[in-house]
This record gives sequence, structure tokens and C-alpha cells, in this order.
Amino acid sequence: MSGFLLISLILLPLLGSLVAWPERWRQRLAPAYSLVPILQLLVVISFWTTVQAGEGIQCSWPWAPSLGLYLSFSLDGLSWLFTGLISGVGVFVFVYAAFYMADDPTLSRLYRFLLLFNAAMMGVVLADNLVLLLVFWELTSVSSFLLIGFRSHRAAACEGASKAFGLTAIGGLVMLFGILAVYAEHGTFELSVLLADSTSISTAAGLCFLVAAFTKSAQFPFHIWLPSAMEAPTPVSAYLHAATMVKAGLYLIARLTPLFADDPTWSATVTSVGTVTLVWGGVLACKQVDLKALLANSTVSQLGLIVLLLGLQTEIALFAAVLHILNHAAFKGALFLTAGTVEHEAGTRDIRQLGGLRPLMPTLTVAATLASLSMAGLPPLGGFLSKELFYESVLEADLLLTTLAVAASCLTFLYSFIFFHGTFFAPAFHSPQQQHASSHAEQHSTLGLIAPIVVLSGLAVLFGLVPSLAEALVTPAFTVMHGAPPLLHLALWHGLTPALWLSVLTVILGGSAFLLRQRFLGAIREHQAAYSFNRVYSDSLTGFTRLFQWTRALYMTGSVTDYVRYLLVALIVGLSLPLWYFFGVTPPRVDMGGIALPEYYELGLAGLMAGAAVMCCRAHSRIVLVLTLGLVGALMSIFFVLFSAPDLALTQILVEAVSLVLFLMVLRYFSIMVVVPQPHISYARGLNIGISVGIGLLVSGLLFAAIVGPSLPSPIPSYYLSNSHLLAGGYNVVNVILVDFRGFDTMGEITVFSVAVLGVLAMVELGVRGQRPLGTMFMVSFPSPILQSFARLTLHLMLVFAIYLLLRGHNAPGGGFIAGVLTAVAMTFQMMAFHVESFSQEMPWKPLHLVVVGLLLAAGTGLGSLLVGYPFLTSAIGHYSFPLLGEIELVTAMGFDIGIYLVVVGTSFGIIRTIAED
Amino acid sequence: MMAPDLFILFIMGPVVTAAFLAAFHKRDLLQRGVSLTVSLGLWGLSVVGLLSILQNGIVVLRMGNWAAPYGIILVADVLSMTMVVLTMTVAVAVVAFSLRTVEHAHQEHFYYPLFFILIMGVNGAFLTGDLFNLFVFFEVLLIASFALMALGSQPGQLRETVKYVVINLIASTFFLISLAVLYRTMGTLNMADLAYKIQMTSGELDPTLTILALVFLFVFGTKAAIFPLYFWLPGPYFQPAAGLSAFFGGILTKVGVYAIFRTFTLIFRHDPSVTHELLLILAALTMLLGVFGALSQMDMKRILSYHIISQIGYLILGIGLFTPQSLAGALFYMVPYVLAKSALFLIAGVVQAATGSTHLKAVGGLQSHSIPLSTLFLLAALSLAGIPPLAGFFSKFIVLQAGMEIGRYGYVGIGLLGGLLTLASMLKIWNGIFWGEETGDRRPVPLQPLLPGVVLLVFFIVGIGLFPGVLYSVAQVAAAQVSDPRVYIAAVLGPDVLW
Amino acid sequence: MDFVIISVIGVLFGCGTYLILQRHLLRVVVGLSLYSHGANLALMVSGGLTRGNPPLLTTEAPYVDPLPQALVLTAIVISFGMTAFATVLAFRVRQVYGSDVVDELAGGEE
Repeated sequence: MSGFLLISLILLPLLGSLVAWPERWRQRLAPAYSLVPILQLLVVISFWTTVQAGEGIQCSWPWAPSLGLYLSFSLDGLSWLFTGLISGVGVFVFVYAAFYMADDPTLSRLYRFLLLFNAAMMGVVLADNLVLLLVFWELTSVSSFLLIGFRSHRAAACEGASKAFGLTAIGGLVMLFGILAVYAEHGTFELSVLLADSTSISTAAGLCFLVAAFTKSAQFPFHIWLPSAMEAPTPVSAYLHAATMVKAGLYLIARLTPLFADDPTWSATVTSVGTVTLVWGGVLACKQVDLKALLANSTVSQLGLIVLLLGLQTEIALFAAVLHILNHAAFKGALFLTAGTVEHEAGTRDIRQLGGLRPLMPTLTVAATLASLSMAGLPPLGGFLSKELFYESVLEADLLLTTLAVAASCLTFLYSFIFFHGTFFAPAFHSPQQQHASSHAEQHSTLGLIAPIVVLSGLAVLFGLVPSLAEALVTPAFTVMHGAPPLLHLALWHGLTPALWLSVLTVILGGSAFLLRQRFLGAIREHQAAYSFNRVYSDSLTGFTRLFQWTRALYMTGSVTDYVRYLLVALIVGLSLPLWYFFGVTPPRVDMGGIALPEYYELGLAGLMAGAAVMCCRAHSRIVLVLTLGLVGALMSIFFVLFSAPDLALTQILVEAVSLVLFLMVLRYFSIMVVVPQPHISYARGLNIGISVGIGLLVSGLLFAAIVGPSLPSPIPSYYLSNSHLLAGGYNVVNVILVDFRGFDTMGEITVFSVAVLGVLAMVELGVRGQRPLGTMFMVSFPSPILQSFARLTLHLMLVFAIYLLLRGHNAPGGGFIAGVLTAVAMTFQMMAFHVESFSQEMPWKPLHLVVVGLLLAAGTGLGSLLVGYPFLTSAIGHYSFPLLGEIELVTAMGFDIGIYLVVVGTSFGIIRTIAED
Repeated sequence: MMAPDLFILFIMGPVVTAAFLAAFHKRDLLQRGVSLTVSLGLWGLSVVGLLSILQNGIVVLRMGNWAAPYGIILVADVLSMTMVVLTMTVAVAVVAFSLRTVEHAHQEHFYYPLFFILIMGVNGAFLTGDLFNLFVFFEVLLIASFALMALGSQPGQLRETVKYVVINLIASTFFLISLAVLYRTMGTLNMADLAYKIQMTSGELDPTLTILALVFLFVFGTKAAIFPLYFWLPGPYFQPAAGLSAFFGGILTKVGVYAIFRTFTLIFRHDPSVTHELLLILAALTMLLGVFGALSQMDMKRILSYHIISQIGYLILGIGLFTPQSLAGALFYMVPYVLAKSALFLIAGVVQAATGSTHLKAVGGLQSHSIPLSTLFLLAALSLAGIPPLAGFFSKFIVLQAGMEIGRYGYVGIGLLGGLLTLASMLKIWNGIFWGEETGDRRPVPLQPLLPGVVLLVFFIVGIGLFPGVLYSVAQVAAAQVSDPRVYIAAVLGPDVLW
Repeated sequence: MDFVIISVIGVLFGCGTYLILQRHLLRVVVGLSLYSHGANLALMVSGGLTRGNPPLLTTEAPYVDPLPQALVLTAIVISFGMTAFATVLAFRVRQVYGSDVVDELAGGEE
């Protein structure tokens, strides 16, 4: 039961953030979101007795147990304090926002983002599983991002949001590293397990968590995001960037403190980072003229103070730390809301233009002054208590730290006074604008914009006047960190302790600084640091972007020639090493047995092929280029004839013929006879030749390695040869492989082929038309009777021959592909003899239809076997006797082959006709 | 339990659909209706298929009823079926998006038929158990992608198609060369048979295998766009219509990654200290250089294109680490990343439709224009950047955890750095397009009808993030299957194969 | 003979590379064609070269390994389709750009 109550703290806001009111009532119903933190506060209060008794609540559900992920939550004194802060400050902020943005149509969205944040924050402090914690941790970053950039039309808001997200994301990722390291060491993500075993976690992992905490809590040098985050609407600043989110880092350090109690590196890191932040933040705060910027930097400083205390790890320091977390939430929340109200009423946050608001807003003046004094650490306010403990802690440490602490406290004193004095008490800055603003303030000062401030300031006072109250609230948290209840007791008066003297010194120094501020404040404000961390951040951003752009421009030239060069050079480099290893380090025993010696005519053929290839490179005109390529193809075909591949020889020569026709038709659009100039840049030419030679050697080397290297025997050829007729009913083994054994390859192959025609059709028919052909290469522009009758004759002869090749393909060289290309050649000839248009009229069907029918036939033959319960493409054999032809073995693969035939006819002819018609 | 023969439908279904649609290419309603119906149907079927395999183990189909290694076989294991499911998911989203965005002229010129052929090629590449058949399917998907990329014949399109065609044809030729070497040496093209033969030899083939591994890495790496072979990618992937960019960016490079995944777990595992170590180095460089390139860009689609490269690095990292968990991580990485990448490209398409540009300087303040669109973008982008609790976080988490466990801290660190820079460039897009002053045209296009596809993808991104255990258990089964090649070999060659 | 042929393959690939790296698109296409011729020869070599033993069961044994031939046939058809597409692409580029010089197509990287 209590487990469900516990996660209701997370679920309530999460569900709330999903609620979207209907458009009509959105504005009026928006404040209803405030119910969520109120309910949360009640739940938190209900846990009081449990926590007071030093007990906790745990609950856990499996999430992804195989990854070590559990939805495990636990509540103890430490998390209770934070849940209290989140819900408590939440109540004030939510109520305040309803008045602050009463007329703003985005109020509802603001509430939903705030609720998302609230859920994430609750998750951070309640999660027991480290990964779950990280999930919520990053969710706070995301919601903070959305809230900082809430006024997204402002460039500064967007920049601030990104800066905050980016810097905290560094922390999140480093924390992930730490979490993974912890898991690698201990095999668990459960904090309770780690804490219970009081296992020693490696310092490196610990430092990872610290980086995360420092980024989140805006510690030096990550502090720069917090002032930039002030672009957020003021309620957001008060809630996220003062009271809660920035304390997530503190929570993490506090939570892990028991694990690193004896780790000097941890302690030294935390203390020194905290100290630097404390002082530096104080200096920056004094410089500011914008109320929110002042408060933001003061928050940085105060967070540094708490981090410092957490690093000291003594009893007093830890107690002071938790106490200050509480105090800071109260007074800083109040002050941020004050800044919001002032801006809302006076129209500016610039301290130089403000002043004299005391008579106009007396209640606010009192409340804000009290909160400021608490921040300054004056008695009898809450801030005084924590400041006293702070002094006691540093006095226990060393002199340097004490000196810095006093200096920082003086700065705190100074900026606190600047804040309330400049706003309320300084002589009014009489500009016409200001006059207007002031009168405006008088009329509209509403209760809602002041009441939350009054209550928060009241708390700041109360914690001082009734120290036992504050003590009771923070004791459970302290006990969790320290492992034992505190021995000390809070009181306003401790006697004349050294700490008190330091406080007196602070007031004297701080007070004199305040009185003398006119002497130096202007100069400090004017002073522009030559190099700030913000500059480092933005300069490195632009610097890196430039660097990346520059390097990218170096190699991403957009020229395909360059890309091919990269590719091939990578191949040469990548393969030369293993090839060298192959031949040089483990030279294989060369076995020449079974490799035929070349005949003289074969040598001649090889020489011709090489020569033709080189001629291609040296061809100066396009027509020579194309014809030489055709020569290579023809020589290939002869090669296939010589080396037992009749099917390939036929295919190659036909393909070559069709390609040639296609090339020549395309050449009509090029100035074919013009000499193509060689590249005049000689180094590029040298490079090209180098790469070419390299690739040639590489490929030869690869194949050489394959031939001379060890190899395994293969049962595959003998299987095909012995079963081709037996099981597949064909004597032409190559054709049987194509339509049966590996028919699936052919299915893919004809698909490729079909797509070629679709692609060509689309490519030619769409887009701009471009120029007309430069010449009619061989399209006969007038009818030639002789050619036509010749063409008619050959057409029928060739068609009959094609059908013959198709039918006998299973048993002798031929088959669908060869027959198809032959048919296409016949039809192309026909088209050349007659006019393209008249030819089109004579053939009403479109090549596309042939392709579709062929593809469907091939696929259908294959799928047909599924219907009779066999796998795809299973072939069946039957014997039939036909008149004239005698007995013929009919194989269903024949249907497949006819499909191939149709596709090939359609595609080959389709492409040519498309170009011809263009 | 799905009948094994039905698995052929993932390949033949699209072809038949494509042929049918090509025949009726002028029938508007038919084109769109059939496309949507078929893609939805195949999607549903693929999910059923995956579940069936998870339950009953690997499914093997003999094409033409010929046994391996003589015939071609299809092997549907968890890895390949997950890829098919992923492909079909993206396909559904892309079709849904295309219904509203494809120009009429393009539709009449075989947009849908070509798209289905593309699906056929991709699914075939995932399912085949034969290396030459893999080559054939590579060619199928290539020529379909060539045609789709050039669809419209605009100058920019043609220019980028030239680059894409040249590079890919070179890679294809070397694929053939490597198959020649492979067949000469090993006497087989069947992957399981190959793996079996390698398992049975005692190292005398290792130098040849290393050479082969590198040639195959070159071929697949060029398709997958890993360092130093990725240079061709950003230009061509920028050009086509948004729906296609989503499929190209989401799925096509992953075919190359899948091929590396398959071959470097099943076949080339003879000497991981060389081959997989090389993968790790290339992975690190791919991650970093990809994201560096992305940061240097100022256009949403270009940034996304470079991120394809960067993310491929993580996948290769998972493969290179070569532990069961890292392999599971690589597969887990694949799913949300593909979903997010496709979703982001589709969103870029919506942005283009709404404003006529995707350049960060030309567009601004879209958040106020469409809250749903910006929410979807944010979810997909943050998932890509690995922000919890979105799916992309767990991807990164699992891969890096695997690296941590075997002490590869350097690679974990680079992975985290890559994540940070990814976030930076996603925020750059967000700030440029969705926040800032309202700039750019606002075309009177209703955006809501463009979103269902994106919603589908983002739904899974969020779902996987909330329940990472489901996908992880699938990935674990897949990793168990691929980390022991005997499982695959026994499924293909029969359980009584001699060891 | 195998060694002679692999030298020829090397020459084909060398010349192919040289042409692919040229400035004119048509030469690039021709270079790719030389590549595919080379690859087809390589596949033939992978089955071992023998004279006069075509894998036709109607003739006398012995027979050459038929598988590489089937693979080459598939490869020829595929590369024919690819080349046809690439040729038309070159032609369209020429039409649209009025030039087929690859360098003038550079760009597209912003």
C-alpha cells in the first residue's frame, strides 16, 4: 500500500502532465493543475511518521530483469526531505504561476511541462535503481530544456535551453559511464544493495557521478548554464533553477556520501569544486544588474557552499549542508518570485532602473527583505543558523578554507543587500516609463503574486526563530547520510563561539562593502572579462563547427571521381597487408597440377582482350570507345566458346549486339566524333594511373591467391551433373541450374531486368526534355522498300529461331534469356527499317505489358508449387508426345523460362524503343 | 505457428504486387489502395513470422525443394526476421506518408512498383542463406533504388544518382570477385555450408579467409557506409522525396550492416583478433566522423544523412565487440535507430511540405505551427541521441555495457561522446526549425494527414523505451543464435551433420 | 591458362578503373562494363578452365563445373540491365545538363 502511495508521487504529476483541457476551458481550468503538488504534499506529510522513526519504504517491480533493470523505489529521510521540497515549493510556484501568467494562453502548457519536471524530479530522489535514476535525471534535463526555451521565439531562450541541456547531458553521459562501471564491478544497479553492503566503489566511478552532480548543480566550470537558464519564465526559475532541479546534484552527492566516506579523492574534489564555485558565484552575483541574473549567480554560489559542506563530510558539515538545502529553498524561492512580481508590476528587472518600490508594495518589501537577510545570514533568520554551522565546519578544516568562507559570505551579504535595497529602498529612478510602471503596479498588485512570497519568507523566518522545526525536518536526512542521529542541536545562541565572531566580521566587512559600493560596483559592472567561460563555451562551439565544416569541405568534394578514388585507395591499402601476409609470410605451396597450359591461339585471344581494353582507355572519340567495348564483348564471347561455355557465348554476343544498338542510339545526343580531351592536370592523371595499376594488380593478386592457395573439394558440380537429367529433366546443366537448381537467382535476375525498363521509362518520360539528337545516326528517316521487305523476312525467321532456342533450352544451348534477346534484336531491326511511329502502330501492345506478364508468369510458376504443397519453385516433370515434335519432356520450369523470355523481350526492346521514340 | 512456406511471401509478395501495380500504373486509387493493403498485410505477416520463429526456432526454406548446398535456401532466424519486421514497419510508414505526398506524375511512373521491388530486394537480402543469392538481391534493391532516386529526373537527382550508381556498381563488381575467390577456395556459396567447412578445417585456410573477410568488408562496408567508405552517402540520400529518404536512410544501409553482421558472426570468425579488432577501429572512426559531419551541416536532411553514418558506427561497434551481449546490443540498437531515423526523415518531409525547405536558416518557429509534429520530432530526435527513457537510450546502454564488461573503456567513451554530439546536432535542428522566430513560408497544407506514419514509428520508439525487456529478450535469442554458428548450420544442413 | 586469364582480368580492371576515373560519363559507363567483363572472367576461373567439355549431358563426359557458368550468366544479365540503366542515365544527364563531364556534375554537398 505504502509502495503505491510512494509511486503516486511520480504518477500523479506524470498523469497530470498528460491531461489536456479542452480548448474552450483551457485557460480557466489551468490552475487546477496545482492540485497535483498539493496532493503530493499531503502524501509526503503522511510519510512523516515513518521517516521520523528512521524507517523507509521500498517497493520494486521488475522492468527488464535480464538487463538488471527494476522499477525500484525507496524513500528514506534524505529522499523525504527532497520530496518535501519538490512538492512544497511546487505548491507555491504553481499557485504563483496562475497569477503571474493569468492572461497568457500558454499557461496550460507551462503547467504540463512543470508537472513533467515534477514527476522527473520525484523520480530522481525516489529511484533506487541507478539506471532508473538516470532515466529521471535526464528527464529533468529534458523538461528543463523545454521550460527554459518556453518563450521559444526569443533566440536567447533557445540558446540558454540548449546550453543547459548540453552541459547537463555531459554529466548524464559520464554518469552512465559510472553506472556501467559500477555494474561491471558489482553486478547490480540497486542503490540499496550497494549501500547496504557498503561496498567500495572505485574512485573513478565515483568521479563520474561527481561530474554528473556538478553539471546538474551548476558547479564550476559548468556553472555557466544556470544564468543563461534565466530566460525561463520566473516561476520556472524559482522552481527548477533555485529550489529543486539544481539540488538534484546535491542529492546525488549526499546519497553516495556513505559509499565514499573514506575516499580522500572524492572528498577533496567535492570540497575544492564547491569552494571555487562558492567564491566565483559570489563575485559574479555582485556584478549583475538584472535581478534574476543576480539571483542565478547567487544560486551558483550557494550551491557551491552546500557542495563544499558535503565534501567536508564531518558531522557538522553534513548537518549544515542539509539545513542549508532547506533554508536556501525557502529564501531563494521567495526571492525569485519577488523578482517575478517586480518585473510583472514594474516592467523591468534592471536594478539600475528599479528602486523606490517600498511605498508601492509594502508587504512585498517586508517579505523580500526578510528573505534577503536570511540569505545574507543574519539572525534570527534561518540562513543565520546554517551560516553559523558553515563557519564551524570550515574552522574545523583549515585556515585557507576559513578565509575563503568569510570572503564568500561577505559577497553574499553584499549582493543580498544590493538586491533588496536596490529594488525597494533606493531612490526611485524617475523615468517616464518607471512612472507608468509604478502606477501600473499600484493598480494591479494582486494577492496571488505576493502571498506565496510571504509564506516562503515566513518559512525562512520560522526556521530561524524555531530552530527545532528545521532540525526536525532535516534530521532524518542527516541520519541517512551520516549513519547516526546528530549529536548537535540547533539554537540561535551558542555563546561567543569563534563562528559567531566570524559572523560579526562578515557583517562588518560586508556592511562596509555595501556602504562603499558606489566606489567599485560601477567599475566591476563595466568590466568585461577578456575571456569568460561563456566565451569559451560559445567560441568552442563555433570553432568546432568551423573546423568540421573546413575538414568536411576538404574531402567531401561532391565529385564522384574523388569518391571512387577514396574507395579504391581504401581497398588497395586494406588488402595489400593481408595479401602480403599471404604471399610473403605464409607462402602457399603452388600446385600447378590440373591447370592447363595455354595454347598459342588462346594467348592470342588474351592478348587481343588486353589490347582492346587498353584501346578503350586510349579511345579519343566516343564512337571508337563504344566500338572497342563491343570488341571486348565479342572476344569474351569467343573465350566462352573456347572454354566450354556455349550458353554464355550466345548470351554474350547477343547482349553485346543489343548494348551496341543502345549505345549508338544514345550517341546521337553526343557530339560523337569530337575528340575527347585527356585530363590536362598531369598529377591527377598520374594518380589515376597509379590507382588503376594498383587495382589491376590487386585483383590479379586476389585471384592468384585463390588459385595457388589451399582449397576444399566441392561436391556441388558432380551433384548437378549427375542429377540434372535424373531429377530435373534437362540435359543442359547450365540451363537447369538457372531455371531449377538456382532458379531463385533467376527470379531476382529478371526482377532486376524488369526494373531497368521501369526505371528507364520513368527517367526518360519525366523531367525536362532537353536537346534534340544531334544526328539521325541510323534511324531511317524515309521508308526504304528493300530494307523493309528484308526486315519482314528476317523478322519471321528470327522469331521462329528464337522460339526454337527457347524450347530446346533445357537440353541444349538456348533458353529464355537467349531467345528473348534474339527476339528483341529482331524487333529492333524491324523498328529501324520502318518508322518508329508506324512501327508503334503496328505493335499495339507495350513492352511493359510483356514484362509484367512475364514476371507474373515466372512468379506464378514458382508460387504454383506452393499450392500443391511443395516449396517455392519446385519443378515437376512430365512426358508428353506432340505431333511433329515427338515425345517431349515438359517441365514446369518451362513456364518459368517462358516468363524469363517475355521479361527479356519486353525489357530489351522496351528500353531501345523508349530511347528511339524520345 | 506460421507455415514455413509462407515466408516466401516476404519476397514474392512484393514482386507480384509490383508487377500488378506496374500493369495498372495509371490507376490512382488502385495504386494507393493496393500498396497500403499489401504493406500492412506483409507487416502483420512478418510479425506473426517473427513470433513463430521465436517459438519454434529457425525456419529453413529450400527453393525448388533442393537441399543445401545445391539449391538456394532461405533462412529465417530471429536476426533476419527482426530485420524483415523492421523493414515492413518502415515500409508501412513510408507508404502511409507517400499516399499523401507522392506527385501524380511519379506515381504514374512506377513509384509504388519500384518501392515494392525495393522491399523485395531488402527482404531477400535478409532472408537468403546463399551468398550469390545475396548478391542478386543486392542488385535487385540497388536497381530499384537507382530508379527511385532518379524518379523525376530533376538535375540534382540525376547528378546524385550518377554518384550512387557508380559507387554501388563498383562495390557489386568486387562482390562478384570475392564470390569467385570464395568458390574457388571453399567450393560452396551456401553460408551454412561455408561456416561448416570452416569449422571443420584446422587453420590452413585462415590467411585466405582473412583476405576474403576484408574484401567482403569492403563490399558490405560500402553499402553500409562505414569509414572510410561512406563518402558517397550524404549527397544521394539528401535528394529523393522524403518518403524514400526515410526508407533509404532507415533501411538500405542496414542491409550492408546486416550482411556484415551475418558474415562476421557466421563465417569470418576464424581470427577475431584481426578482423573484429579492425571492425572496432572502423566503428570508432565512423561514429566520430559521421557526427562531425552532421555538426557541420545546416540543413535538416543533410544532418540526418550524416547521422546515418554515425549510427552505423555503433552497430559495427556491437558486432566488433563480439560477445553475446554486444551482438544482442547491436540488434537492439538497430531497431530503435531505424525507427527514429525513418521517423526523422519523414518529419523532414512534413517540414518540407509545410514550408518548402528543410534548411535551418530558412525555417523557424514551427513549434507553434504544429505541436504534434514538434512533439514527434522531439521524441524521435531524443531517442536517436540516446536520452532516456526512449528506446535509443537502451540501445546505447546495452552496447556500451557490453563494451564495459570486457574492459573496452576507450570505445565506451567514444560511444558516449558520439551520443553527446548527436544530441547537440538534434538540438541544432530543434532550435533551427521548431524554435526561434517564425520564418519561412507557411503553406496551406494540412499536416495532420501526413503524420500517421510518423506516429506509428514513434509509438514503437516510446513503447520499446518503456518496455525494453521485450525487445531485449528477442535480441538475446537472436544473439544466442548467431554467436554459436552451430545452431544455424544445424538448422540448414540438418541436425545430423557431422562434427 | 588460368594465370594468363587472371592477368587479362587484371588488365580489364586496371583499364576499367582508369576509365571510371575519367571526366566523361560515357567513359565511366564503359569502365564499369570492363569491370563486369573482368568479374565474369574471374567467376569462370573460379570453376577452373577446361576446353571442349561443355556441361551438356548429351555430349560425352567429362564436363566442366557448370555452376560458375550459371553464375556468370546471371551476372551478365544483371550487368546488362545495370549498364542499360547507366547508359540511359548518362544520356539523360547529357540532355538535362548539356554536358556529360563528371566534374561539372560536382556539387550537392551544399
